Amino acid sequence: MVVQVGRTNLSAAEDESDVEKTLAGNVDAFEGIVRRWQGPLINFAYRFCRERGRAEELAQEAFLRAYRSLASWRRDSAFSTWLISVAMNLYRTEYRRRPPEFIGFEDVPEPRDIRAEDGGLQQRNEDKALHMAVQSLPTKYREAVVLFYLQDLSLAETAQVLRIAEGTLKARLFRGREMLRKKLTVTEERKEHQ
Amino acid sequence: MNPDDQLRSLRQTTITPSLAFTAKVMSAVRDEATMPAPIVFPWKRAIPGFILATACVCILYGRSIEAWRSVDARIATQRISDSQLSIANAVLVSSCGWIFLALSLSAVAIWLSDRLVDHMQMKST
Repeated sequence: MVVQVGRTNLSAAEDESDVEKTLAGNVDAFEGIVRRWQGPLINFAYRFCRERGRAEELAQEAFLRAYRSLASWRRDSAFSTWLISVAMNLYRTEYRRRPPEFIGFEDVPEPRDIRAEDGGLQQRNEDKALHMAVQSLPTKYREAVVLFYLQDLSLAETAQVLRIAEGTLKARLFRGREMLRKKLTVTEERKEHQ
Repeated sequence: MNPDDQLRSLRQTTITPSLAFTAKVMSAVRDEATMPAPIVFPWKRAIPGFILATACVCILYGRSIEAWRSVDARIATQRISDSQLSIANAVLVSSCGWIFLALSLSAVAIWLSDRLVDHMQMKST
């Protein structure tokens, strides 16, 4: 199912208010945070593991970790940045512990269905290929690309989550894009030869 | 489409959380909230013990080295008598005894603190 999850709908003031209430002992106030952030956190996890069920498990664990360490959120960064950092650390650990089935870029399937030309399948296949290409990037480039392009974080927020300088992030994004471009070009050439 | 736009277009492909997701998370959060806080390791009480144990080990080590050197020097000068050798052995044996005693005390301390933590956990539940 395709649904747009926009960060514009997420209210920083509501987050802050819910955090205050939760810290004051009102556990139910945490539900507001879960409702607002479940989409972004599940999708973020999905981009790491590519399994829907696993993504929900990881997002649930991320919310639990956030709940446990809510008091450690210093107001010097946005709640969103802090929450994504908590999730990022968990997903990163899980990714190392249980990496998704690795697919080399040469194994990325080509769109073969003839209906693809007019049925929207070509676009979906291209998206799938691009997703796989992103997955096959080395960790530091993949994390930067996923956070900046797919999670829609700003440069400053992405740099803060990854705890790197903005200049380093820009370099990683550039290098990541270059690697993707090369990989996609190779695939296109292979497609033409066939 | 340039790579930036291509990558950004992937944002459109998202999955929706299952209907029970919020309820599941909140149930886990409520369980977490009702759980007793974990017992913190009593560093304030333990640190003096650690310092004392370290000091004892250092002193014992220093004395053993000292005793060994004195025995070694006497053997080197070949002026050691049987009675002196037996005294040296006794010194070494007594050092070993101290080391054994320190290790035993440490083991007992660990065992006691384990029992204490178990006892406190049982009381809190």
